[in-house]
Formats: sequence, C-alpha cells, structure tokens
Amino acid sequence: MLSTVLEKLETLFSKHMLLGAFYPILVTVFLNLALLHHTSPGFRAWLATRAPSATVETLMSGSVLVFAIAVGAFFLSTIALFLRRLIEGLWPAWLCRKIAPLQRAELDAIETQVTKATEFRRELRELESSLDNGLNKARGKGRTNFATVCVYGQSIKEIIDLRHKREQDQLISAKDLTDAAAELSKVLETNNADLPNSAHAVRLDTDAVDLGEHLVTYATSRAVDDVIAAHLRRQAEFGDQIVEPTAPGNMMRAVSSYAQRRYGFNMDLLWTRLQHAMQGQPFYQTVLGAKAELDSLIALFWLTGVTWVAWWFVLAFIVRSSATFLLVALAGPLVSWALYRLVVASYRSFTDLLRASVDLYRFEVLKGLHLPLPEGPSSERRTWETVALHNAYGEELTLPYEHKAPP
Amino acid sequence: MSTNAVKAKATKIALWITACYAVISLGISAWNYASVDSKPVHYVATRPLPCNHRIVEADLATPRGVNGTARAQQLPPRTTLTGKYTRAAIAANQYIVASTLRTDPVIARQDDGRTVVPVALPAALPAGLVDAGTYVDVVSSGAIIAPRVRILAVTCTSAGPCAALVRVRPEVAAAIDEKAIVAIRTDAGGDVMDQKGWIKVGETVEIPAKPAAIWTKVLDYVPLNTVLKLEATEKWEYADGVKCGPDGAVANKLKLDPLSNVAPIGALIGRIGGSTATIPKGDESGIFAVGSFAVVSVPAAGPLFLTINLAPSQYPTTTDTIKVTIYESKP
Repeated sequence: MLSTVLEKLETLFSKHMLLGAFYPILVTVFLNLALLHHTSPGFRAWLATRAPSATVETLMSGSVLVFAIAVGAFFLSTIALFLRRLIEGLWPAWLCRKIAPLQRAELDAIETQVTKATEFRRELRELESSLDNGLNKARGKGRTNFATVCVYGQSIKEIIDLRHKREQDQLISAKDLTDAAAELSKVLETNNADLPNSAHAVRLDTDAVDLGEHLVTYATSRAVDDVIAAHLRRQAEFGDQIVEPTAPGNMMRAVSSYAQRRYGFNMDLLWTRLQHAMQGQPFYQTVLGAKAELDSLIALFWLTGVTWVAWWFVLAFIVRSSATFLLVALAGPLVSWALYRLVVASYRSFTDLLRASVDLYRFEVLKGLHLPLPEGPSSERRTWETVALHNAYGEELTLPYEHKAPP
Repeated sequence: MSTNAVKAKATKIALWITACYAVISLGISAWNYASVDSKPVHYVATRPLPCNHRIVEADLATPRGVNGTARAQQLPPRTTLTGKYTRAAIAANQYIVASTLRTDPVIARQDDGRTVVPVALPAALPAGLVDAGTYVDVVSSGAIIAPRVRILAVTCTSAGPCAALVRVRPEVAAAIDEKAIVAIRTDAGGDVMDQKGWIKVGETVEIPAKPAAIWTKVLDYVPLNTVLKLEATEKWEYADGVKCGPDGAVANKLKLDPLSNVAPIGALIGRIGGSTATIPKGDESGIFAVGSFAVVSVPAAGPLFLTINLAPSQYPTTTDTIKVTIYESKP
C-alpha cells in the first residue's frame, strides 16, 4: 500500500520535494514510531485496536498520517535553505571564531601538502636524468675494469625496498632513489652487468634497468599524482581567503573562488542566471538530482539528530529504560556522525557539478543577456567584471548588445 | 598557534566531550538499571483482600507510574497469580507479591472437635460477594443446617463449581450432603450488617481535635477480619472559628493539607496498625474514612487509631472532641 501511496505522491510532488523533504520526514516518523512502539505499551495497545483490514477508520487514520507527513515535508522544504546554511556554518560569530581555526589548520595542512608534493616532484624531475646517467657510467666502468667478473647473488636491499614500496603504492622519495643508485653503482663498478651466460649478470642488469627506468618513472608519476590530488583538494575544499567553520561551508566557498579565479565569474550574482541558462539541458537534471540528494541527507542529519537527542532525554528521565537508552545514546551519535560524513561526501560531488556548470554553461549566460561572447580568457574576465559591476553597482554597461535574428 | 597544535587541541576537546558523554550516558543507564530495571514489578490490590483470599483477575491492577511505561512489560502474566491464595491480608493499593501467595489456603488446626468441610457455592452467586471471612448459612434441602458460619476460604477447580471451606461440628459435617449450599444470611438472626448483629465495644470515646500525638488510640488490638461499626457525633473546630462534624468540611475553601485524601478536611479518619506517631504516606497508608458512620472489615490485626483529617502542623488549638461509639459484629 505504501509503495502505491508513494507512487501517487510522485505525481503530486516534484521529485526534488519527495527526495529532499518527504522521504526524510517519512524515515524520521517511522524511526519515532518504532521507538514509541518499543517503549510505550499504551501506544502498542492503541495500535492493536487498529484493525489490519481496510476499514474506513483505518484508511482515514492512514490518510491523516500521510497528510501530516506531507505537511511536515512541505514545512521542511521551506526551511531546507536554513538547514543547509546551518551545516555550512551560519552560526553565531563567537562560535565561528571558536571552530574556524580548526578548518584553518586543515587548510594549512593541505597547503603544506601541496608545497611538499610540488617540491617532491621537482626533486624527482631533476634526479630522473642524472640517475640514469650515473648508473650507465658505473656500468661502463665495471664492463671495462671487470670484464670477466659478475658476482651478484641477490638484489641489494635498497632495490628490494623500492620494489616493495611500488607494490604497496607508496611514495618513493628522491633520497630513496639516490641511496639505491649509490649502492647499485658500487656493484656495477666492480661487476660486468653484460657478462654473457651469467645469471648474476642478468639479475644485475635487470636491477639497473628497473632502477634507472621503471622505479624512477613510477616515483615521478606517483609524485605527479600526489601534486594533482593535493591541488584538486585545495581547490575543491577551500575558498581563496575566508575560511568557514565547517567543511561544507568551505566547499561552497571554493566554488565561488574557483569561478572568480578562473573566469572572473561571480557566482553569488550570476548563479540564478546560470541556472536559467542550464534549464532544458540534461546536465541540469544531474545538478538538480545531486542537490535533492544533498538536501535529503541534510534533512536526515538534522531530523535524526533532533530525534535521538529528544529520545535520549525521554529514555533517561521519563521512560527510564536502561537498555533502550544505552542503544539510543550509542547509536544516535554514530548515526549522526555517519550522516555528516555522507553530507560532506555529497557536498563534494555537488560542488564539483557546480564547478562543471560554470565551465560548461557560462557562455549561455552571456547569450541570454544578449552580450557578445569574448574572444579569449582575458577578454572573458573583463566581460564578467563588467557584467558584475553592472549588476551589483548599477554601473553603465559598456558592452554592445548582440541580438540574433529570429530563425 | 601552529596547525598541529590546533589539531591537537581540537582532538583533546573532542576526546573530552566524547568521554564525558560516554560517562554520563553509562551513568544514567546504570542508575536506571539499578533503580528501575533491576527491581521486580508487582501488581497492586484493587481492594482490601483478606487472608486466604483467592486471587481473581479483578483483584489485580497495574501500579501507577508503571502503567503505560516499558516497565509494565516486566509484570508477570496475570495467570501466574490468579487462583492463588493470600498468606496475609493485603490492603487496597498494596503490592501483591507473587512469592507471598500460596497455591492452597492455610487452614489453622483447632482442637475444638470441629472439622473443615467444603460447601458448594451457588453458581448464580455474583463473584466477590462471599470471600474468606464472610459469615454465611449452610443450607440443605431448604433447611439451614449450620447457621452463621465463617468462610475460611473459597476454593475453585476447573472441573466443578467453587466451594466454601467452613469449620463445623462433626454432626453438622455429617449432614452436609451434595445438595448443601452456602446462603447469604437474611434471616432475623441477623445479617452481619444488621443493627441487631452488633456488640458495643467498651464505652463511647472522645477523640480530641488536637490529639496529644498524631493519632488517638481507641483500641489496643483488633483481630484480623473483625468487622467494626463506628458511629460518631458532635462537632469540632478544624480551623480558627470554623467547625464541622465528623464528616468533615466538604465545601472547605481554606488552604489546609489533610493527612489523607480519602476524606474531606476535618473529617474523622482512622487506621489499623502502626503507632500514635505514624505519619502515613500516599495512598498506601491504610487510612480509612470514618465520618459519622462507617463499617470496616479489619484487613490486618493491630491497634485502632482515630484522628482529625488535617496536617499535624495544622491541628487546631481547640478542646473540641468528637464522640465515637464502636461496635463489633456478632460472631
């Protein structure tokens, strides 16, 4: 019966409303009813009087419940923005001052990581050619001075360690490579790695090639990956200047900073126009879906939080049930924490879509405003700055209009 | 402050909050377990139950404060109590503890030559009309073969009708046949509630509005299941310049706290057991209203006390008294 009701509701409410408000309320109502059923014999007795057969009274009761949930969902949808802003750090100033340093520390850590990763990559790039040259020189010496000798029973420890790190997808530093090259060079200088019909020579040759080519390549590409990841994280998780007290708040700020830094596109002023420009595009449905999912998780986070806090007090001081209280006291914070992590993950994907929206559809905004498309990045920046000044401060628009003739 | 220092401080605060929350939650859980969950829950009696009373469904009530809560689930099934017998009298609203009940009634041996025999109860007899301690006639073929005998207990089996256990002389026991049944007394010999069935106990006593202690002792000892009739007259000053009779001030508008809520302010109230200094608490105090007329079946042996229904701190300074005459039902 419930699935039928939900299917009918989908025709009455938008998908966004259902996902963002109705389902969270529904989940919370069921959660509360389950707890009430567990703790209140009076409620159980009342429930037992409800006949399972579809009497008029039962149908009326069910309709009233669904109607109440729908009203709750409508109310929730009206405060969805407030709930979102709350999770993004719309708090009293004194609380922001207390919490924001933690996010600032997180930002500092990421920036340190970016710096280190960049430095690491630079060192490896410098080492890449010199390492191979050094090994080749040592190999030449060995071939000349010890033409008939090659004693290399097993790979040296440094090479084994490096291979181990590669297998475990760990970072290999320039120092690791330099140390290994120094040790291997000593062996190469006293042995002929090209001695025919020698298993030892084959092993030494393999190690030299592996170190000079494969391990260095792995270390460099791994460092590049790290640099990219660190840059992306910095770009996706924090804005340029202001630090909000929560991770979701900083991710939203990062979107504005990204658009401003890349194109001079002011998200605060132009977001509604960008939305209009995207309407009708399949991509816009993806953005709306991600937003609905985000709203749903935020609503669930707050409703679950309020539910377990309220039940914590009820079970502690009114119902006084030790086992159920302990269950709620332990599971409540864990569920809230898990939901917060999901909210943060959802923010990450949603803000990524917002950045992509700016990348892909910003020119549609200009078309909608009947303004000429810029020729290059610098003229685009000037265009958006002009549009922003016009919209925000009412300054005169110095750009010419461009009207397309109707088809 | 450096990044690591900020993170370390935040971690420390988070750990403190988590630890405090865990300790508080565990403490509350343990406190609830110790004070609520670990203690067994009992039904309470809906009315005074005499010794050897056979528990029926209507005798059991869920205690206040438990009804409607999770603790109600801990109540034993009613079927584990019904059909069992009380070992001692239980006052109304007192706990009925399963372990204190017996599967059979306790019949004391007496060396007076009388024997205990079962007599069938009429099938049409309303439930609860007769109980242990009720006086009845034993009738066979329309003739009373044993007048005014006291029921020791009522026994019931699933096979047949309930029977009353009575103690009678051997010749009467021999006369009790299959047709013998119990009959409620209605003859001139005196129903237990009949005026002619009462015996005056001592002289009329005066109960002062301002007692020497909390209660005024009236009788040293009243045996179990004794039925007393109390009649009270006169008036007393229950507050400055305000008088009422033994039935109390029904329309009282003064802010006075009574000892008990079973009777109005200023009414004559009584209790069996305890001492002259007992300050009873709640509805389990065993206090009964006397007023100008009362008949009381004594639920537990002990002294009889009477007093005015006021808080001890509000006892008046008057020397007014209420005169009380006490009767005992004829054996």
